[in-house]
Amino acid sequence: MQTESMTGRPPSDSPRSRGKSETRVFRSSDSELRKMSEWFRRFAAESGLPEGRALDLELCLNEIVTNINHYAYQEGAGEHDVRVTIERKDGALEATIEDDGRPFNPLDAGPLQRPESIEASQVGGWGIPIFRALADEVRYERRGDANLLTLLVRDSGKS
Amino acid sequence: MELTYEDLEDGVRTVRLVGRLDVEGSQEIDLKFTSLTASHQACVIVDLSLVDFLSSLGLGTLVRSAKAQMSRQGKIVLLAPQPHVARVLQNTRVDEVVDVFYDFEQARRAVRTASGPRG
Repeated sequence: MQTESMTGRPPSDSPRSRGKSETRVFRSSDSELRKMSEWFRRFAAESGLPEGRALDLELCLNEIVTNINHYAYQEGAGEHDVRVTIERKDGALEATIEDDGRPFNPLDAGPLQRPESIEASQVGGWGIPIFRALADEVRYERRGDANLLTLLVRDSGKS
Repeated sequence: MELTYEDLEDGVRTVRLVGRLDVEGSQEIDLKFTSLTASHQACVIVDLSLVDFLSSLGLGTLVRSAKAQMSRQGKIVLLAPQPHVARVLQNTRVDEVVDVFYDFEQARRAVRTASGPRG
């Protein structure tokens, strides 16, 4: 697997080719989200991922990293590193998000309940249902002190 | 994120959002949006046609106001979400409790019917 170092250096050739990947490390702060989105959109466009599918994966990444920023660490723990790797696969884009927060497998979360009414409906808790609905595959692994969540979005997938 | 609004002669308020309703976008408009849509009883159409990205935190901004308006016997409906935004509304089942319209006049009739014509 080719992996670009985290120096902000652009890839030397188009990531359209299978196996091309890039990794970036972001601080666990919501102020980093747009920077992550901009980086992802550039990679997705260069890799030829259809626009609708790129939007799907961009939203998945936003939801996952927002969850990490808000819930993975104890209050006052300061900012941690969130490592995001995206890789062009054959007919798909794969993203892996790694954090060193408390163990959390989002695949253990139950399905979203149908709200009875707007008065009874919850505000929040939508991040996991969103990325589980949009991604074609989701895998979770606890490796040492790290959570690794991997999502696959196919070129011709759900959207 | 941009927010503009207009009060129509029949008492319906239209609020138009433009841009990304992500974490940063929702922080940018949250105070003004809440003030315009939830601080008093109102019939509100939120035009989403120029919102090109909706995350769960942005969705929270919309749903909080819809809940508040319901408790005041008012109503908020959503207008013309782009396909990707509409899918977020479906995947979170928010479209089952907040009405979504693609025609402005239908949206207008729906909010007026819910709260009764004013003024």
